[in-house]
Amino acid sequence: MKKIFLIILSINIFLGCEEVIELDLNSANPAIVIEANLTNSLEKNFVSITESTDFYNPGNYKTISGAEIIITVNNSTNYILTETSPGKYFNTNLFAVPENKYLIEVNYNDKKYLAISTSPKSLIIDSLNYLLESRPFNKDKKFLELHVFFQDDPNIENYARFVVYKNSEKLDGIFLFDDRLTNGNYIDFFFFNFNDEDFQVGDVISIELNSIDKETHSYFKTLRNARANSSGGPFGSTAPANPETNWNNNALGYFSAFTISEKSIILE
Amino acid sequence: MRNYLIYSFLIILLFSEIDFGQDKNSTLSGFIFDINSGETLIGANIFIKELGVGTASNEYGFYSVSIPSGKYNVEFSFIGYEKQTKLIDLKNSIKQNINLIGKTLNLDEVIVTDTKADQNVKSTEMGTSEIVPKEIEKVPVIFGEKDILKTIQLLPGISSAGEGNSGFIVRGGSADQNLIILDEAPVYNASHLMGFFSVFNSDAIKNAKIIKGISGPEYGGRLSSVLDISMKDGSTKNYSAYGGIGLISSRLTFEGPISENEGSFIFAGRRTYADLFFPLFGDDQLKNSTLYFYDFNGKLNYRLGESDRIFLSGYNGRDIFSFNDEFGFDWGNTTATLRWNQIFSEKLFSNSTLIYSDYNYDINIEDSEQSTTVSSGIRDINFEQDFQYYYNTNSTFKFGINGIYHTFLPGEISVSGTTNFNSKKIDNHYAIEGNAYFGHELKINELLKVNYGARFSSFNLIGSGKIYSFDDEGNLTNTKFYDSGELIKSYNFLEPRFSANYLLDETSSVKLGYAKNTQNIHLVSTASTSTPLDIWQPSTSLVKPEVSNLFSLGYFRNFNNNLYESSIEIYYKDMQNLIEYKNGADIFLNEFIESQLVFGRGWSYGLEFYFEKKVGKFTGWLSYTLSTTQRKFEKINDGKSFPARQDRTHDFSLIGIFNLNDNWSFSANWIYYTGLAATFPSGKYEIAGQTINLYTERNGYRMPDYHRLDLGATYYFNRSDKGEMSLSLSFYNAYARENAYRITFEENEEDPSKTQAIKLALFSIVPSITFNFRF
Repeated sequence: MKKIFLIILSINIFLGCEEVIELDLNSANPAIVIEANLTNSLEKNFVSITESTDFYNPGNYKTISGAEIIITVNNSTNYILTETSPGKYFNTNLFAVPENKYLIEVNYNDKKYLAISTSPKSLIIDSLNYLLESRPFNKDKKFLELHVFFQDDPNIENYARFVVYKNSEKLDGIFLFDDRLTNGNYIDFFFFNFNDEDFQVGDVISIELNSIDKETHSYFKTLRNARANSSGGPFGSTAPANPETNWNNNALGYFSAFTISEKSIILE
Repeated sequence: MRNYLIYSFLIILLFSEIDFGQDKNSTLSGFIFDINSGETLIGANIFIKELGVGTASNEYGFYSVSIPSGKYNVEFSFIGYEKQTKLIDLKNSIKQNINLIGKTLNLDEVIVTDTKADQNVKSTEMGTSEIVPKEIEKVPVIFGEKDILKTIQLLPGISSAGEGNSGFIVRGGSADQNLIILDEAPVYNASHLMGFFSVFNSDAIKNAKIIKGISGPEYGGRLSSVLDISMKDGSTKNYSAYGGIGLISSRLTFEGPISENEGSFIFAGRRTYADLFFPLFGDDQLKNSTLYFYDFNGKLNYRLGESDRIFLSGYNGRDIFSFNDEFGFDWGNTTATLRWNQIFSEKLFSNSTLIYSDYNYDINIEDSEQSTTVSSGIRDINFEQDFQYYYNTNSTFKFGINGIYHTFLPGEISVSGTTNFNSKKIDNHYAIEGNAYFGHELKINELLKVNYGARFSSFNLIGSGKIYSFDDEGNLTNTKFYDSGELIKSYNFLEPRFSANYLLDETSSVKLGYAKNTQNIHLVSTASTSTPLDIWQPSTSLVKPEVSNLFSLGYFRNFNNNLYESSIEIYYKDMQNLIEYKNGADIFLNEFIESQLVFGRGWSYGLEFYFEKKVGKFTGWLSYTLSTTQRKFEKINDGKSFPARQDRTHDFSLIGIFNLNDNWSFSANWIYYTGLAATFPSGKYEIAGQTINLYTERNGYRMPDYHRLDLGATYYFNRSDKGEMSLSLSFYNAYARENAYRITFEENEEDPSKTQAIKLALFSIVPSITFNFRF
């Protein structure tokens, strides 16, 4: 499979000619961006509030301080988050528990932003496997095909997002799973599209499986389009658009409650 | 269905009545042939000198004129053929078949006197162009593969779906709104290799006609255009073989008589051969891989006596891609047409046709542990009965019925062994379409001619099947079951068609046209051009039929004894119930595909200018379109209207062919158009440490303007009556303009805090060489 991908990639290189161009892009009013993760692992929990900026500005995103944030669990218990560094908000007593429903409320500048997320039942990584090979057209670089094995739950719709680390450094890419066509199976999920990342013997690869809800899955799926998107080619999606968020009031970002299953492997 | 049959019989009876009442007039009728090949000639002109009236042969080469008995000089002419004048003593109705002689290669002698040459001005046809492959073979094209679909993109109002792409867009429509028919069989996916080549092998094509919306009532089912392609019948006189060898593909065609003057055959094949070089790379996996496409056209015809002729034609083409026996992907069309032309009387021409069309794709993934197969497709069986009634020189009627049985196979996955996937089959959809039409072309006086008619279309989705209902979020709320044959949903339309021609003088006219079109099978595609994974979706309770209304007004003028022809047309087109995917739609094997769609409307208006020199040493045309195309969807762009991706303000093509002498000809194209509408970010933000583009409006920006020059030269040698050879050299994009194919927005690799726009140009200068032969 991966070789097909590589061949298609190289055909692209033969035909295409790339060049950086300067475009006259409009500026948009700064929009509020709220990225909120509530997990079962304390160090992964955070709410971060920033603002968008113009495309050609250097990417030092303005942080938003002084917001008031409350998370309500199952319509009963309230937790208030406190700002620990500019634009970052935490509450060390709150963890995501599967099947709990969380409502988040952010008040800032006389505006109220709301989002809801349910932490689904957890999927657990059973084992990892990999294939490390030289690239067909560049023998110096290694190509990694990574396999994650886990059991899908036949009783519910499952959604997952994978986060991959090489030597504790997070790798680029949005890797998503849904069981629409694979419900109830023992899944061999594999991925190999790590851009140009080079892999060597001895690298430690860690994989996080985040059991996310449908809304978060939809967010990341559409985020993938907004991120690496193209305009003009006939094979791209019809037109790129902003991702489908679960925030109201035109806030960007997402709120997701999920549990994490993690495993690591050393490349040999 | 039965009602339509009864209606049509009544109409036939009615015309037979009229026939009896006409005893002063006699009818001259017959077929027009090419003397060398015996091929029938479409649109040849028949002109009665004494009366100053005439007619043209139909798509089967048949003509019929009813005029008062008497002695007449009758002229038979066709562009590129020598005119024949016959003195005909018309006491009673007579049949007169005519063999026209193709003009010799000596181009200097060509004088334009063909009466057909003023068709541009005198017919009621609007927004219509005909293309004969022989005439366009000198136009330079990418990779040297001459291609009808790429040539029509150089006409006003027609644009390409993408660089080097065979998909086309007519007057702000979408690529699936073109009815592409090959010998009357619809071709559902007209492209190979991701759209870079069309499925039509020019060697097998006799004639192609594109109608940009104001079509006769005999056509229907698509909003924007009809591309009617006729395959060659094959020579009834001689056996011949011809073909070519190019960079991409080789072609070979055989044709000849089955028995002289009674029947003929033609077989044409084409195959690409990039994969034949795979073993040279020395890679074992590549050695076991394939990547090619082929087309095969075949046609037989046989005359059963004077008035009956039977045709059997078929097409099969497929793209085949496989990698190391692990992965296979193939897709293609099959069509078959069985046709029976009958001359009921010298005035009544009948055409009965049985048509089969199939498009499907298959994906196979196989290894030691598992095998997975995915497939999808669409299949039609179609019966048509058409009549043409030549009442007199002022009045021609067309009427007919047709019934289509559609089978939609939305998708199926079957697995064995250990794999992630479950086997799954999405239920087939079935539909019966019944259409009836009537059209009348009437010359009211010497100056005014009208062509009016209507098409009644009835689309019926039938069981067995399930009908789903969804809430606003797209969640399933209800499922309703239907038994086999049970009517699920029916859509009926009456589609009026009208065009009129008012002659201002001998060389100029004004034309007016209106047409309503409906479309009940929709191609929902994530891409702007067709891809092999396209799914055809029938109209259902949730997916409403697409409906368009097109108005057009034109001024047509020929100059210099019809040496130059020109036209200016303006149009306005309104389109309802257009379909797009939701953001992040799940398309693949989704039985709830209807929940993934959004609906809206669109409109387009513009001005089209065309100027052509058809004959002489120097030929060519200039085409210019000024237009606007908009879309408005409740759920896209906050419900505000936005320019469609294919909105091109200016679109300009200039094509020139210079025949220097018998050995050399040169050609050049220059193309310019406004950059396509595109969605670019107006800002950016950060999520999970990654930069995300912020979009504020759909298609609010423009790609850079597009232009390029193509050059071609052809050298002919070993020319004789029987055959010739030629070598063609062409340069696509001769000044290597780096036209933007795609613009991506990403982080600067050296400094990730900065973002930049990157332009991808697909083709620089592309030289190609082709060798053609005929013997």
